Order: sequence, then C-alpha cells, then structure tokens
Amino acid sequence: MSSSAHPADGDLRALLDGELPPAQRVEVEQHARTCAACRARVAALESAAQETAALLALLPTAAPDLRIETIVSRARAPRLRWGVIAAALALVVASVAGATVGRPYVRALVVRIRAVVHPESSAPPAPSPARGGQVGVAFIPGPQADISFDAPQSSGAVYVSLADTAKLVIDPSAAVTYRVHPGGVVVHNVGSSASYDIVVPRNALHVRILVAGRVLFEKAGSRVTAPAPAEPTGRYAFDVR
Amino acid sequence: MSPESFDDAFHALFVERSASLYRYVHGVSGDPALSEDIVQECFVKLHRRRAMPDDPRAWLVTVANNLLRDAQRRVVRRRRLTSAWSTDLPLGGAAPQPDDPALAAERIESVRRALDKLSLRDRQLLLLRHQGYRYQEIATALELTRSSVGTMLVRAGEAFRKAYHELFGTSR
Ligand SMILES: [Zn+2]
Repeated sequence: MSSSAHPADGDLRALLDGELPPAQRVEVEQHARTCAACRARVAALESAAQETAALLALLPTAAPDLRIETIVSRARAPRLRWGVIAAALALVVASVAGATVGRPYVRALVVRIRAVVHPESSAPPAPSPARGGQVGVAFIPGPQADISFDAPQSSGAVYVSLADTAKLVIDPSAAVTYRVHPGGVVVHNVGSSASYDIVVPRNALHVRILVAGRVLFEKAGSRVTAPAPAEPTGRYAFDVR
Repeated sequence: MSPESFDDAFHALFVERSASLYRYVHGVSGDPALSEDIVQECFVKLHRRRAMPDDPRAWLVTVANNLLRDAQRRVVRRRRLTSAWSTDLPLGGAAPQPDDPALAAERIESVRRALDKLSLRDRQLLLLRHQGYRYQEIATALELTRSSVGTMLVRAGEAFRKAYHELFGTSR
C-alpha cells in the first residue's frame, strides 16, 4: 500500500504536463509506484487531456499574415484610442439586417441577426432633458438629423459606419451626456476624451456631424462628405476637432 | 534596455508568439477579424512601451484578455442600444476537412459551441494550455496561483468534453 494520501487530480495532471515542482514530483511518483488507483487515475486524466487536445486541434489554426511593419508604423502613429477594436465591431454592426458585403463570417452572422426596426415610426424622438452619465443613445432620425458635439476634444475619434438599420446609434467609449431633440442630438462632451462609434442608417436622408458648430461629416442622400475617405471596411474615421 | 535590444527582442517575440496569440484569441472569441485586431493592438501596445515586461508572453495574454473583455462589453452594450441582436452568434471560421466535409464541419461547430458554453475563465485556461503556455504563464495572465492551474485545467476539460458530447453525441 501507499505510504501517503492519494495526490489530488490537479497534481496528477501537473505531473502529466511536466509542471509539478521537483520535490512534489518525487513524492507523487513514489506514491503512484505503489498505488494502482493513482496509476489508473493518471491514465484516465491523460486520455481525457488527449481528447480535449484532439478536439481543440479541430479549430482553425491558420493565422492571418500579421505584418510587423504594420504594427511598428501604427505604434509610431498618433494614438487613436479604440480605433482598432472599433473597426471590427463597426464592420459587424454595419452588416446588421442583411448587408451583402463583408467577410464570410460576417455574412453568416447577419443571417442570424434579426434587426428590430420600426419603419412605421420615422418621427424624430420627443425632446428629452439631458441625462447624466449615459453610455450610448439610439434613435430613429428624422428627415434631417444633426449630431452636435459641444466642443473639440484633445483626444478621441469618431467612427462612422453606414448600415441598413433604422436607428442611428451613438456608442461612446466612455459615458457622456446627451440632449435629444427633434432635429437630432447634442453631445455634451466638454472635457471628454471618449471616442464615438456612430452607426448611420443608410437610408437616412440628411445627417450631419458637427463639432462646435463646424460640419465635419455630412450625408445627403447617398452622398457623403467626410474629412478623410472611407476605410476599406466602408467606415469613416476622424478626430473630434 | 537599449533601443536596439528592445527592437530585437520585440521582433523575436513577434515571430515567436503572434500566430499563437492569434489562435488563442480566436479560440476565446470565435471572431477572426476581432482576433486579428486584438493581436495587432497587443503588439502595438508593447512597442509603445519601449521596454520588455518581466514575462512578455504572459503580458501579451493579459493585454489580449483586457481587449477581449472591452470588446465584449461594447458588443453587449450595442446590442442593448439597438435591442436588435440574436443572442446566438454563430462566430467562427471553421475549415472543413477533406474526408467528410459535412461531418467535419458539424464537429468543428460543436467544438466552437462547447467552448462558448464554458465560463470565460475555463475557455481561457484550456486555450492557453492548448497553445503551449506554461502553468506559470497561465497563472500570471489569469491571476491564479500556479498550484491551482492543474486542478482548474482538469475541471475545465471535464466541462468542455461534457458540453461537446451533449452537442455532438458520442455515437458518431
Ligand atoms: Zn494513490
């Protein structure tokens, strides 16, 4: 019989993985030499770990061709917080409700997403008082919708995506306050360094984005005017300046 | 660390870890484009740091986990804003295998869904181990004690195989 208590499963697993500290390893190995139950347990844990590894090996292993040059040049470029992460999400959001562009997985995603749209209600939202610390806002734009930022920001960017949705969505990276009125929404962003993902319905007639009264982005019908051309994903990115 | 030695170390780490980090993030998120962006962002953050962390491999995983968490929050928030999303996201770019494409695809889909049923922590544990991370690296990245990693791996593996067999069935 064994001279000590049976080791825990976690220690047997660590033994299999070669991760048991040396002193403990000697102890466990000595025990297992004289304990058939633990030897059986080690064998069971090993075959379980092998099954897990075989299943996980079915996942796609191809990694994209990541280029160190891209990373180094991005690291040296001025910082755009959220830019990269927002890009992937904007792509997904832009595909809501049946856009046919996008990578295959996005198309697959779109099939399963059912956008809750309210085409019957095209009226702008009723005026509302400013609300404190709100994270995001979504509303159905009227014939003309202005998104007016109170002030320029020292950092932070706006990412605009057009999508086949009914609602205009403003999704900031940090809470700001808004005032929604019949002609659009005022963003009280003084002192904020947030970035804003804005999803504009593709069929919105006239949407403008203004910072301190200056028009930075305008969509009139299908014509878009922005500080910079759209990215390959179709998204527009510019600073809150 | 001199600038040259940082650049050399950065380059070596990128060559050694970028694909593996991608596979880890993709395993956790199931989203190829998001995973690519997160891996890029991890290395951008490291490059801006201009100094190697004590444990660079674990550091990269920690940063990736934070970005994954932020991305997840934003997805959830936007879902709530538009109240327009299915909770059942079929993410994952599965590659069919040549011999029986339909069955292979179904099997891969079951692996993906079984992973999605796990807690984030369990998924992270299994996928880090699968990518060859050492117990100490896993412990550092997930804020666990090293001695608990074995036990947690055993439990996460059990939960994963149970979920997989429920989805795919054992008879095939
Ligand atoms: Zn024993």
